[in-house]
Amino acid sequence: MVIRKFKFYSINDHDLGNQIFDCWYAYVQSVSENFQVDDQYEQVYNQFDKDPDPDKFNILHWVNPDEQIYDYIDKFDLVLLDNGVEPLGIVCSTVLYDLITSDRKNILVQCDSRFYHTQKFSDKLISRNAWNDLVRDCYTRPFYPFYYKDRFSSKQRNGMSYINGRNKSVRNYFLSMLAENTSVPIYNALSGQHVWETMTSFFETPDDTKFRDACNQKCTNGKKQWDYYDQGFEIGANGKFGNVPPGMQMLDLYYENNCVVYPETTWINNELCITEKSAKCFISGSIPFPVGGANLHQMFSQKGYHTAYHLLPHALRSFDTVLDHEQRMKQQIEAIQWLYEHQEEVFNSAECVNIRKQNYTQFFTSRDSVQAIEKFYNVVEQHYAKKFYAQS
Amino acid sequence: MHKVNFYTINESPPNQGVVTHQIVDQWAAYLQYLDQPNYRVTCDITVSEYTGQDLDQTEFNVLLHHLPDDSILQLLDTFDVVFIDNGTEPLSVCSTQTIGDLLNNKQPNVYFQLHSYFYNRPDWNNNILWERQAFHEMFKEFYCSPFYPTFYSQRNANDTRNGITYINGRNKSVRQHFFLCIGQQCPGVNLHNVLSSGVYETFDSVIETVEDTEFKDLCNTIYTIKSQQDWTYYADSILPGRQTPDVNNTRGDINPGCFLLPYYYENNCIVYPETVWINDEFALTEKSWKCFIAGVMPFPVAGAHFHQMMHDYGYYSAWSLLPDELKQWDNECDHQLRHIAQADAVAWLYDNQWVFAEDKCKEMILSNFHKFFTEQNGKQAVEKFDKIIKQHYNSKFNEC
Repeated sequence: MVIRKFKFYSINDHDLGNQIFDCWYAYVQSVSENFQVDDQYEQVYNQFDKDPDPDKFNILHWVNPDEQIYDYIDKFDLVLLDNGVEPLGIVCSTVLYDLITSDRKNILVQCDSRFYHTQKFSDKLISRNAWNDLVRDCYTRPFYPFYYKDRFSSKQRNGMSYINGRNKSVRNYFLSMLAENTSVPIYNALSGQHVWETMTSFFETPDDTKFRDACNQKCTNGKKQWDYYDQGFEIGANGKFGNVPPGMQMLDLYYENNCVVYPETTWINNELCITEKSAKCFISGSIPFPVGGANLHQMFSQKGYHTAYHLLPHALRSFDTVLDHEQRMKQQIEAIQWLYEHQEEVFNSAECVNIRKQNYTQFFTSRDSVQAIEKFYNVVEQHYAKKFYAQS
Repeated sequence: MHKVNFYTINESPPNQGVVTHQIVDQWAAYLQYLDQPNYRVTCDITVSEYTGQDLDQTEFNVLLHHLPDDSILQLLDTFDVVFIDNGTEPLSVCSTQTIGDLLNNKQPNVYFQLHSYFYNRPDWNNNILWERQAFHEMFKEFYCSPFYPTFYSQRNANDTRNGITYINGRNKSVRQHFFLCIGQQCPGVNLHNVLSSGVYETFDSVIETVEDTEFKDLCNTIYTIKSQQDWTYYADSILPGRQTPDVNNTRGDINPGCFLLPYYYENNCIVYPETVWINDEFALTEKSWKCFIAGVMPFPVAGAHFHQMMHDYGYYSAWSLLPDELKQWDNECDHQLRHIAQADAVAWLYDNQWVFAEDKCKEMILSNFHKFFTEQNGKQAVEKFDKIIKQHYNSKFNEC
């Protein structure tokens, strides 16, 4: 029997993205007879002084690559780039963008983004929702204080709320429209009156750029330190289990309201990243109304989650496909106001009860990671076969 | 509360090795939860090993004792509260005589961490943190965390399920009795018994009833007993994660019984002996949890009132699908009579498999799946733990 050898080179031993190696190994076990793996799998850190062994299948894993990476790409059979498993529209670099959009066949990118349309580079993406694994831990393991919060409360709910996060200019635009045109209460404690600049994204469409530029010109009011991550909570006695950012905690609004409207982390068209903002709705049983780019609600549905969009009359659902942000937001506001005025019939309907239950179960059964790891496994197998069996 | 000192005894480093000691970390998290929005641990918590040293009686001292013998009796007055545990296993299968004695002769400062709930025994149940099911927490990880091969082995529910399979585990003599009943009374049921080629002795339990003892003695006598040394189940565990010279066994091990056989996805119903077999004791293990995950209707075989307790706890078994006249065996304390009636019920289910296609059954299966993945049983246990600590603390220091 031929024993295949795989070597996984990581640039350091502390990035979240490194976990993909252990997940990949678990997947290999799951498809092996009696879960026994005969092949060799090795992970090493920061070992680039020698060229990789040609008898092995060598994978380079590099987080937030800079130009140094060009010296190594051709030496490895596969290069797994990584943006810290964040959404690509938010965290990317010139080098990462260059490599994602290049014709190189040995590039993969581990991130937390899915794109609506088949992009030229979508084959390269390993869309792994590692952040939600952390959120799930916080709410399913008794070592975290959030575990003890009641979940999925069936107590009497009433009303809707908009919960803002960091008030970026594109969010502020929506917030202002919402305040002017609906009666939905707004919770904006994290940012107060300040408006932060919306940063450029490598994956912007012309519609995104136009909207971002307009919002930044209208809305920003100077620089201010964003101290959100300094306000995290230590977990366990003397911080034994690390710390978590404030956004992990569940505000009572999630339990009291029928529906929570909120800006998801990604705002550009056709990109989806499901973060703790949505997860808190799934856990608490409130109906999520995420605000983001075009086709966001369709993409939620593709991932097995349903939003308030699915409770709207068909005539009010058309906003989701509108690429022009101002137009889409205007239509979204109409949809939100309609929900606000029809709460009794909409949020007490059997369909709504089913959506709550489905979101809740989908989140806790945690199947998101399967597709990502399966894809990584398949790509490695294809490249392995090409390297070692193609000539024969 | 200002300070609580926890002491462990006769165990590997404090707060390591014994899964039940994790209750201290969980309580710290609960204190953080109570302190929201600040999320501080509002009490100074220490954990150390008790080696017979003098304790400061002006402080509040709690003993965590794993599987104690009689020597614990001299320590009961030394500590303000004592929590005795058996690794959150079912009491009937893992215990010491001292645990049984203390359960029956309750001392005011003694409580238990066990994975057993008893029928009509509030005097026992109120003093047991039975809701804390450490193995359930671990098993759920196997199917929720992408670091375990089990996570990837789940399949989608099959719409073309058919048939009933009896899956035996370790073939203890009391199980052999039911195995023969089902073989004789339900010829259509598929029997899966690959783990055991013989019959193993059924051990004594510290909480047996007269009916349990009679039945166990009978089964141990009439069936040929195999040496316990032939049992290699735990040696056959799967080690998740790589085994290399520098990294070994990074994520513990998974017992063979934690993996899902294809029957769980192919059949309408799985009949199996649950770990507990004595009357009036309830504990669920991986045998039932696998049914919940795979979306198949479970039919556990155990002592009297097991199905009633399972139903009261919020999980459905095939017992709920039976006509009322075929449900009565759950109250039967005579094991032989109950086994015969249970096998008749399985035969009825085999002949009437349309019940598994009904909406009522599908809702029950969905409910089991939903509850398994989302229940917060550990929360109830930690709330109970908190209440006990605070009650004794306040009583000692006259705090309100």
